[in-house]
Amino acid sequence: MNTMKYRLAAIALAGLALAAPLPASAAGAAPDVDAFAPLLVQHEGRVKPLDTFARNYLLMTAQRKQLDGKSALSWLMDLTIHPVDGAMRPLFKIRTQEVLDTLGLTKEESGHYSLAALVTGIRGRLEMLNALYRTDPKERTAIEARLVDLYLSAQQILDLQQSFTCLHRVLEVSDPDLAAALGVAPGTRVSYRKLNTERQRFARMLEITKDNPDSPRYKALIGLAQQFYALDQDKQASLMTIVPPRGDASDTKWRTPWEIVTEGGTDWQNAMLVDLEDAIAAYEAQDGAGFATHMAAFQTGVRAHVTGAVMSESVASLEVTYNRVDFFKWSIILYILAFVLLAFSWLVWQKKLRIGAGTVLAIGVAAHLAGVVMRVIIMERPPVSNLYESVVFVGLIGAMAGLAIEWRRRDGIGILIGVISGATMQFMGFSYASEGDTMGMLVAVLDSNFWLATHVLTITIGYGAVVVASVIGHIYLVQRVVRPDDKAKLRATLKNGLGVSLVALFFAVLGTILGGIWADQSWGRFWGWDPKENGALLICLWLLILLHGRIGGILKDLGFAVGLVLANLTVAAAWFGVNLLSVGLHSYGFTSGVAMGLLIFCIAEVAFGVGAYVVIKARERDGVDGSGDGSDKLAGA
Amino acid sequence: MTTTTADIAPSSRRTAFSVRAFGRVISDPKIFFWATGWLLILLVAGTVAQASIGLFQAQQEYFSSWLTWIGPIPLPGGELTMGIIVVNLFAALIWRSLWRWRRAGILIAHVGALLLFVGGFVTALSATEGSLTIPEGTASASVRDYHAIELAVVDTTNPDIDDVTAFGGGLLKDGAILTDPALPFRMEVETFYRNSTAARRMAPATGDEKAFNSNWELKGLSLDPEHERNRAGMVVRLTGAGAQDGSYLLLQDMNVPQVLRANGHRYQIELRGRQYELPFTLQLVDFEKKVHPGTGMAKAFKSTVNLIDGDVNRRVIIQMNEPLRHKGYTLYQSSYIQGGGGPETTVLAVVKNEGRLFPYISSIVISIGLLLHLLLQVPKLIGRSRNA
Repeated sequence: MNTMKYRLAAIALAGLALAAPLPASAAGAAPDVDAFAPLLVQHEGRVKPLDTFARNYLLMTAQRKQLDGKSALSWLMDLTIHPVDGAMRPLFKIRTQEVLDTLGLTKEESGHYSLAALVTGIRGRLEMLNALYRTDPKERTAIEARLVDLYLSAQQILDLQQSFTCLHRVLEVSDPDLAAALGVAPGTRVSYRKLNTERQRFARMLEITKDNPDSPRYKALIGLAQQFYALDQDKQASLMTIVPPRGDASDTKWRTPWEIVTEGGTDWQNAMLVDLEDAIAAYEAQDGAGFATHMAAFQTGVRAHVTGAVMSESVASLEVTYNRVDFFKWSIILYILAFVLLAFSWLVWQKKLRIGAGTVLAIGVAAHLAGVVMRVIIMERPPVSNLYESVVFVGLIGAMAGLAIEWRRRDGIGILIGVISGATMQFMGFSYASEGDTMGMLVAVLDSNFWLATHVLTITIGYGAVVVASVIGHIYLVQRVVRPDDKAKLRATLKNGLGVSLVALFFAVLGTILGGIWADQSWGRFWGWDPKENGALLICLWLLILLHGRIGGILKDLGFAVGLVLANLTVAAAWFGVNLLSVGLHSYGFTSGVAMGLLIFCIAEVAFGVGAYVVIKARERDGVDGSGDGSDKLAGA
Repeated sequence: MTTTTADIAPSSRRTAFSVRAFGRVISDPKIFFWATGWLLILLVAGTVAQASIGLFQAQQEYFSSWLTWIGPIPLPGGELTMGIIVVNLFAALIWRSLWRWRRAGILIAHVGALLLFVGGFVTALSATEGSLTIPEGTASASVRDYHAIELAVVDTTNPDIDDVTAFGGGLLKDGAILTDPALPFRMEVETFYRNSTAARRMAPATGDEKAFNSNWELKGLSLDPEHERNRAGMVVRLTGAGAQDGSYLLLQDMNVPQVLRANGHRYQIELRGRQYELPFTLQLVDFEKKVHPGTGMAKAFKSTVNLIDGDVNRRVIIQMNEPLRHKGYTLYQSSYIQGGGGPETTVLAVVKNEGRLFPYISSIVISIGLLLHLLLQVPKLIGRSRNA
């Protein structure tokens, strides 16, 4: 048998893809920023690797995972250490002409616009943007929402850009007395941080010399003072909180370098800033070894002073690996590859290619699962706790179900089911991932509760099973249109649909009841006709109607299949639709722009289901397909 | 064998017993199909309606009603539809069940579903929901109902004892006469609004308006989607109180006491959320709110209270997802009041529900049933296409 050979070939192919180069780390003496990806920063309530932080901002602004072939972290480092160059570099992705026109920007070929250009555009229109910012987000048009978005992200990038300006050695101290006080040779450039340590003396010297305004000494001092106060404006930079808190239990807020400099810090906090300052100087001098030494000292400082339940070193490294390897991207590539192999199997080498496709699907599922498992380890919480994770999880369930069905059927239909559900969900997940950190913290009621965790997992598996059943419904209709005479295959497909819808009913019902139990545990009522609850109930009712309709003889094979197709609508409504209603206790999703997608999806599904029904019915009336619908009921198993 | 999921055996036997014939008619799965279909439509309509009329009102109109009205046309409401489904399920268990091992899972699941409905009806009939508000350092046992309101006549003659006579529920409607042997006067409801406000009178009062009513007049408002924002109001006419006879204006929870003297007693009349006393008292020791560091996002709320029940006084912590259960009552951390100069105040939700165990039992029963059915059926359904 050649099966083994093809399986090996498929694995080799997948392995090759995985071995593609990681984001290049600079060779030789150039500073290697990526080595410090696991450095910690506190951001949106979570202590996370700097790597994740950088990726977040790059994804939000440039909608990319890398910039100019360099990692997000190198972009961030470069932005903070070379703020001027960084501001000129094309960054913000703007697609809409109307947005460009409003901001007075000229269209660039690349579609990316620099911070400097954007800030110039914003400055001239501050009044309008502030007025927009004050409007109710629900009232904004897509263009207005994008403008507010850009306005806010420009502020954030500006904030980031100024993170380390207190540590740049740009202030030239020519005055010998001041230099002596600072412990440097006259003419040395020092940082704001350093000069700030002798702030009082500096002020006194200005006071003494001001009577003689024409003296070179006063001129040098006042020049320095102007530079000093110009830098002072940067102190509101608040995002780069990379210095751990003081350590007593009440202080959980990490600090920015600027905060330490202006508000004072403990000795070890100040010592860490010196390390960071040295590292920045080494970076500017392109001294790779020096950069590595000083950054390592800074990192040791962080690790020595974090207390409590802060991300451990190994988990931080795991998160960086998760970011770099990007298992979800690989899973989607493998799903598509499996689909391509399957499509070819319909033309040539039927069995071999089908087995290859199945193997590739299996590897894709493994990558998908690996990503989910890593998230569970990193976040120390169940696999589904926000909308993004639910999308990814449903994809996983679908792909696994497809694999299981293929294992039993061995005719490619299972692969098709797995590939369609896995790939579409992963694509949807990507659009959510671009909206910010997918590992955000949770509000109190959603955090750590046994019933909630089981409810969410069960109902999400239910969603996944319904999606799979619905995909089977689609496949049945297509088969019935294309090959109405292959009765055995049609029957087998419908039987699968029935089986999966039973599984779906089990998880949907259990998940819905568990949701009620969670509600009872958390706020004392089992059922309150809340939109999210109603959504879950909608799925259960639809499945119950379908199954009982079959038993009562109201729904024949074709009607049941159309019902399966439309089951997708109930999932869409329960999953995304209820969030659009903006009422209820636990609509956890972020939903702008979802409404249109949902509407298009619903129309397409209804058109597909009804269209196939009409075509098949019309054909049967014309006698092309001799068999009446009533006669091909399932044979009992 | 014709179907693989049937819980019900199609039967062609005809019987002479009319009860049995009737049973077979009301247990027809077609009834389930159409009734559940209608319930699904109600569900969608009621959910969408929540965006405009609010959760509470949508629940009243679509789900907790026997009839729901579209203009002048009466349609079956949620309660009626679910009643039909329950009857249908129950009848199917009696008249259409095939008591075979193959069907065991399905039968168990249906018993579980019936239990769920029974629990729902018990809850609908018996559950009360209210809130208990305790400022830090003080103690309280007085629960205020979320939805029900009452007209309370409080005899405050003795400063140490409040003697309350309360009228609630269906009695608060236009034209209702309210009397009680304990009261020397009778009251007639002239107007009642579920949501209202008071406006200053443009012209001076012409009739026998008393107290607050002499300068203000009651205005009805349309219902607010946020049920908590609806403020009931009424004008009530008193007779038999001598010189104090006349019409009084009451707004829910107004802070201007409407007081009158009759028969040597001092009465205060109030329109308020229905109040009742818990059989125990809670004293708030400390309320604590934690946020995720660096954000305003709530991480946890926590109330430390002393539970005083007779001679027993013990320390209890109530927090998100960790309610206090005592004597059939369950108390949840629900909300809080902070700032505004006053002490930190915790708001606990108080629930009493005789049907609360039903969902737990029925979920276990349904799960066992469906799981059994899955194990019996699915291996046959996900088969190899070639052997099919």
